Amino acid sequence: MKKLIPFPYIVGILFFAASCLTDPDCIRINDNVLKVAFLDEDDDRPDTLIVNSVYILGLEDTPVFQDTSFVAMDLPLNLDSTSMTYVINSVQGIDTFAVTYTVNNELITPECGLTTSFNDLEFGEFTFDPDVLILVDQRILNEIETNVQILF
Amino acid sequence: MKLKQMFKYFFSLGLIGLSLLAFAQEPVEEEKKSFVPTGLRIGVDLIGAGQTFLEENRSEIELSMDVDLYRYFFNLELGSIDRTQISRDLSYQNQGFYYRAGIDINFLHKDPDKSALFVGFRYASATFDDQLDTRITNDFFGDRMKSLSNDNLRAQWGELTAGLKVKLWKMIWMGYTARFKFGLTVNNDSDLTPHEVPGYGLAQEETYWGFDYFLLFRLRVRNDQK
Repeated sequence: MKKLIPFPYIVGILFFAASCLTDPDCIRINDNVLKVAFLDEDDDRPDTLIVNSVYILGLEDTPVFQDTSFVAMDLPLNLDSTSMTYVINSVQGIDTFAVTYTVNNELITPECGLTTSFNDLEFGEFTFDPDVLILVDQRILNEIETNVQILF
Repeated sequence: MKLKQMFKYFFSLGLIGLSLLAFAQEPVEEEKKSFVPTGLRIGVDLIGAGQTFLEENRSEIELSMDVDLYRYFFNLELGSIDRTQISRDLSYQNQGFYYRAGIDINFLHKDPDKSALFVGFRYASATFDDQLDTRITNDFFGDRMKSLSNDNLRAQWGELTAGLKVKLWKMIWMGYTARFKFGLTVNNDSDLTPHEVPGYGLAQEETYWGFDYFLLFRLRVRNDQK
């Protein structure tokens, strides 16, 4: 029986070693911006839109962008809300579109901090022509190039 | 990944080796099967107790009970954790209870000292609350504090166990239980995914290893007739 007594220590050391392997990495694959691309309506190729202003409904005093031009732009998503309405004032006119999404927060480690994922992206109300506003990808991830395409 | 596979390989080898040691005992006369318990063992996990002593903001206790019926042990393990993890920008508190119930098969049931070399299975369940307070930084919306919490979460999982219990002196025993935990489900539909599950470990891990080292007291309820 005494021959067996060292085994708890040996197996114990192996288990402690294994527990070190399960520490998560500080890798974040989630993003917190809605990626919008502008395309030419005729040939579906990227095109530059001249923008007077882009702002979030309810935050008119702090425009996201002002007096610039874009082939693509990143619009901020708020993790305290599950919907956002964006207003795009451009040379094409003033249009709005709303998006809804789900939010999930997860602690990676106390040292790495919190990661927030936005999922299930869908359109809410919008003033664009339905043919020019296209939802390309419902996932909000770093690796996604475009969530929404706007043709003009 | 390779390290994990190596570990599984060595662990399997260890288990096989231990099993062979058990079967290598000298043959004894054909035993009389008795399904009446001979004793009740009650223990406390020394690793959890040690972490409570050494780590600030952590309180953890796990108790273990088993009774023997022939070569089987019926186990009940009860635990409680209250832990707060703090870093520069956040604090995460997790508090809850858990239990595990299951059966072990003892390969040393003929041992006169009632030592145990066992493998087994547990069903485990936990009830817990957690809360996260953190600073959120965002270029557009600005920096702010955010508090997220879950109340009355329930989790369940299964465990494959292996271990050893040996008599040290009179009623006093020591033993370990190694656990392979799997099949975790948590009934969570809030916007905060739990980080830790009491008794399981990190909730984001589909499988998890655990290890308990118990100080045990065995109360003999009848003499083993062999």
